[in-house]
Amino acid sequence: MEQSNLHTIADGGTLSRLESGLEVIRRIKHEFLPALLEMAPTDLSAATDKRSGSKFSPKWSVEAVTNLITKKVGNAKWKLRPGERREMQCVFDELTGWVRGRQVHTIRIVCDGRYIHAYPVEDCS
Amino acid sequence: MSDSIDLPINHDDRLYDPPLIDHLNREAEGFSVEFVPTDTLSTDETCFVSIILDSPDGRMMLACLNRAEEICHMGSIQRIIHSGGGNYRIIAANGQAINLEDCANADAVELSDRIHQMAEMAQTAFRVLARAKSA
Repeated sequence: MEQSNLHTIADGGTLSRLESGLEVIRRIKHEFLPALLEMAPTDLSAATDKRSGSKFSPKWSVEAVTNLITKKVGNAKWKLRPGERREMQCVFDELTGWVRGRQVHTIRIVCDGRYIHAYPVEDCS
Repeated sequence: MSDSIDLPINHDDRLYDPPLIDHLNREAEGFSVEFVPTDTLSTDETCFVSIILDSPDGRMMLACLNRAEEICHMGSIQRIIHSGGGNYRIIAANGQAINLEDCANADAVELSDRIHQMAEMAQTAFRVLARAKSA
């Protein structure tokens, strides 16, 4: 799938099919919203809580997240194993997003054995 | 009996607290369920449980899913994805998909309830499994 077409993919749709057969899927609830930058702290907290989903920072576009997943999962050699969950966390120097209103620098990549997606999570203390 | 009034309901009016289904996928053997846990279980964003079809939990999940299929009229439901807030995307095995927010109110309300029931079942199954592992 051409990178420029990724925004036409529906929620849950396949952004990239890896050689292993695993599929990177789109998760709109974690994507950056420009309104986040203008929100009061309480609104930002609600917009990035468990019900709304943590949100990526502007730098982490659909394309950037897809590339990260493809690279990391490829390096880790994850295989298509339905029902077998895998996860990994990647820590960055720069802001990756917001979780419950707090800025974070960590992205978690999760796989249920077939579908892979990623989202910002709280930094480990 | 008076006629019912179809009041417009914003999808966030159907907003449940966790547990919530984050991503449910139906495989041949059962269900792979990523769910948003209650804070009393975990402050983590999501937890995961695999539920075998041929089990009490699997049969309860299937009963909920079958009812959701009757409401959606799309055939066998393959995946349920949380789109944020009170909205879900439901994807059928034949490739058809609907968003909960596009459903008629009565259907959306029952679908929300069924999806929440499945989240509750997943969290219970996760707790039982965790307890068994720590025993």
